[in-house]
Amino acid sequence: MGFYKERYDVIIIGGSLAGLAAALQLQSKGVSNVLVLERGNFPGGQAAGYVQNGFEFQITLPGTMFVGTKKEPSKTGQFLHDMGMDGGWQPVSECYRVVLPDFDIDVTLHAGYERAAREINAVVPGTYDGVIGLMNLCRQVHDSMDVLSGNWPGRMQMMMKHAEFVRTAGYSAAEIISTFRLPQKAVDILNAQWVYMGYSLDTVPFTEYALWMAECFAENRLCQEPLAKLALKMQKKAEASGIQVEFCQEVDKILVKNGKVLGVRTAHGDEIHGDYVISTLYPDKVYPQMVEPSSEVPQNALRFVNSHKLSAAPVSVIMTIDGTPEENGIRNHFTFFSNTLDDEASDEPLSDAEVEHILTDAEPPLKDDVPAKGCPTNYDCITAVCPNYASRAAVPEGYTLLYLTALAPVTAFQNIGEDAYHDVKRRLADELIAAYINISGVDFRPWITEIEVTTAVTISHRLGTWKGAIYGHVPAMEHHVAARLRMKKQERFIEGLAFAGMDGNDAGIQVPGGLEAAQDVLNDMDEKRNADDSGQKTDKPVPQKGTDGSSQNTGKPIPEEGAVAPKQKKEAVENGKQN
Amino acid sequence: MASKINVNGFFRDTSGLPRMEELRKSHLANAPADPDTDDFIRRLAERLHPKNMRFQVVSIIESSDYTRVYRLVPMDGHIPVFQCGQYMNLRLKIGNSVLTRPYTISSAPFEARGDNPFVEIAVHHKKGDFVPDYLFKKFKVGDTLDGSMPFGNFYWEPLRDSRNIVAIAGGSGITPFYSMAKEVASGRMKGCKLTILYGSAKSDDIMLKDELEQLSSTCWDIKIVHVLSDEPGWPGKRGLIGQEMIKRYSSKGCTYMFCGSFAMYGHVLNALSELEIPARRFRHAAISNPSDVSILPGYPKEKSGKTFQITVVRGARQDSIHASAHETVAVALERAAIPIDTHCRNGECGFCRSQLVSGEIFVSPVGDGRREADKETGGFHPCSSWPLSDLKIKIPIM
Repeated sequence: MGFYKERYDVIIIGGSLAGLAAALQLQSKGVSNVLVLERGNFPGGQAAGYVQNGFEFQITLPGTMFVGTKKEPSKTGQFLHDMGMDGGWQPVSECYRVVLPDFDIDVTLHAGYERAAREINAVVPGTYDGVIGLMNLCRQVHDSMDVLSGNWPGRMQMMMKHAEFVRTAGYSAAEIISTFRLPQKAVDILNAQWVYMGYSLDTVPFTEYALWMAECFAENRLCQEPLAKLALKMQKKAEASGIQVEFCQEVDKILVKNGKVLGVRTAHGDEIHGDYVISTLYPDKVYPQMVEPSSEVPQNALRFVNSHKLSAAPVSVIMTIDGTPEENGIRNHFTFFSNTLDDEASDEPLSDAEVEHILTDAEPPLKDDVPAKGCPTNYDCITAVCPNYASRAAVPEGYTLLYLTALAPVTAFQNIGEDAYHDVKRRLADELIAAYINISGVDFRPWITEIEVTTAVTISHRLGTWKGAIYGHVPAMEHHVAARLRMKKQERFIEGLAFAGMDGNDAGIQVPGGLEAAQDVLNDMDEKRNADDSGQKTDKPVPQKGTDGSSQNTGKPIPEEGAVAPKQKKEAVENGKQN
Repeated sequence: MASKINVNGFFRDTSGLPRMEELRKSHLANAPADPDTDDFIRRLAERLHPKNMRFQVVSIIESSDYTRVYRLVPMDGHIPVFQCGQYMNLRLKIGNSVLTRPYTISSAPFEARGDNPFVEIAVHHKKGDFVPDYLFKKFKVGDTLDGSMPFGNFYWEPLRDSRNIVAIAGGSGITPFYSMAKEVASGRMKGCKLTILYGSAKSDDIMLKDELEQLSSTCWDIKIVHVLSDEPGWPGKRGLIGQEMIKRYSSKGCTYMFCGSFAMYGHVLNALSELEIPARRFRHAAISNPSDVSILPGYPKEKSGKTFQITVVRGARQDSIHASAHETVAVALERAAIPIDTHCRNGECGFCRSQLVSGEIFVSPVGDGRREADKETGGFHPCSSWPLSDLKIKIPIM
């Protein structure tokens, strides 16, 4: 007897939050002949993390999921609520602290646009109106995108209902920000996270900037338990409703015939058939490496991959330290800090000489000695995350958990051989820790109990992502998120193959990406069903109604499905007319 | 304020989206179409953690009556970098079963580099141990073995640990420290001083005795103290390694590293807590479970000697196997020739993580590496869990 059914409606590669969200979303719309194949032995992908000497660690810094408030949930928040998984989420007021000693900046910003704007105004007087104006604009664009992502009305409708989105869509973040005439200091405080990501706002589309900023400064809640536990709950729920989830199953190949997906083959050699495949692995890996036979990969799919640039990968030092955060000089959940503002992370791989320099130098060099070009990480902006401030349950009593992260282009590790690897890692860790102590003033090094260092190589090893990347693609004008969504059909190069979340700015593969992929599959099933049409008998599952992106966050509580449907029908009709 | 944004005039402002679409189209059309298949990060990851290795036994040294040192060289010549204290996982095909067993690498990391790289494992064998017995009887020079390495986070970490290391070893628990002693003697762990307190029952139980003497006599930074518990005529230290002795060989802020049996672990832990040594200064290797589960605290003794039925679910397939109360679920699976990928064999690493669907198990309190969420929902590690009733379990498809 085989391990798998003869055929699945949908095979999902990856039991990450995105993969499991896709599975649950499909199930909730009546498609439950679904198989989830996870490479690791625990659900959650990046969120799964690992256990070491009694501590649960994430592979790299735990990102904040934007779920919104109970009253005004985000798409993710609404989804988790619908799935009965938003228990134990607590409101959080701190957004982040930004410390830029060279610019005399040390500010902590809190949730709520007015509050954050007041806090910036307190350090850079006279900026309140500008900052609040920018934030409100971001919110309008964000809310428009939430509505539009499933549904594009004609130009007139767009202009009337989504004017701010339409007017700003063609510009970079820097261009729009400049119209608010804010002093540089205020801009630096506002944009700390973009510097951390190493993105230049000259090339980030304002739309993308707005999506992030609107959520960053909105009221939000944080999960009180490790995200791994949320993933486990999602897995259990999926299994309880008939979805098959299998661990330790790495997918080697996606089988394609005549331009259409046939199924997958695992590293164990099982060939499994399915009508649809949802990949949480990037197209960067799927098209050049996984499609079998490779002759089934259209040239345009490779062009698509080559036209994008991978985001940088994190270098993280993960530590548990004896004592409370306060005792260790750590006062914030999320801190961005740096000495100089430089948002251009170097893209050059380390030269042999530079690797040599790192290896032969027994003591960590002073900052000035670090080769500016080809430096493995962008030390100029480091992020410190202390989960103690997010969730008491996540860290054992009496310990501090701290993640220090800088980003490095994946190419930075290109010339580092295996013999040098551990030394390079320790050296990077040493430098990151020293930089943090420099701003916190408390040398906690003698009290470190566990310490792990993550690089792109670690991520590749643990998650199998392409080149160890987890932040998707670098946002760019030529990869405008709205253009991507509008051109989705033209860019579906293989029938039946969907990808979960590939917006660069999305911090990788997350719940919204999974929902988007599930929606793509449901839409396609719908279309096929309509095309098969009248009376023809079909084995295809019949998705339930309301599959066209019905959980949109308009910034208001989301009405019941039935209440949304008529409006969407109407919009769909208008849409049809205008096209 | 600025609610009606106006950047370059109405026309240009409102034509943004079509402009972005055109930009996207042309960008895609102009991109090269050659596939980039070179994932150099993955390549490095696979150099560091090769999935499957095949080793050839190049020499077997009888270190003592009960100890053999197997020198292994990978068929493809490549040994991944490892750190003193890490282990390799051997995959032994015995009959229809595949058994996976961890062995600490007893050779030094530097010996795995250079022109003639090798790794060694030191196998201790007294009657009755199944796998050592098999190794002793079966493996000759020239034979091949499958396995993978390196695993485990029991190693000296310069970012955290002191350069003054007090190693406490029992029986075959000497192997990580033998590796470390060689590395120190070679001058590679600069500034480190290694004191090994090595407890054995009798003098003929001491593993690698001459080798260790040799190292400590040639390197000032290595000191070895033998402590025998069961040999009244022994001229050196006798008894158990306790608080007194540990204190005598400690220095301020030193790091303690332990590798030994379950019984000894409890003893050493007590001694260290009496000395008020904080947990961060105490590292220990995976503690093997005792061969008799019923001596573990909390084990319901009335279950001893019983046999149970385990329903094993792998995907759409179900099998039914027998299990006896005194063997772990992993051993029951191995006996039934159902593959299960175990690594540490004591519950810590979680490689064999499976799902308990129904039934009752006993989980060893030593090295219970389950996540909190798993404890609540039935996730368990078969290598360190014993059946207390008929079970239904779901394990990974191998």
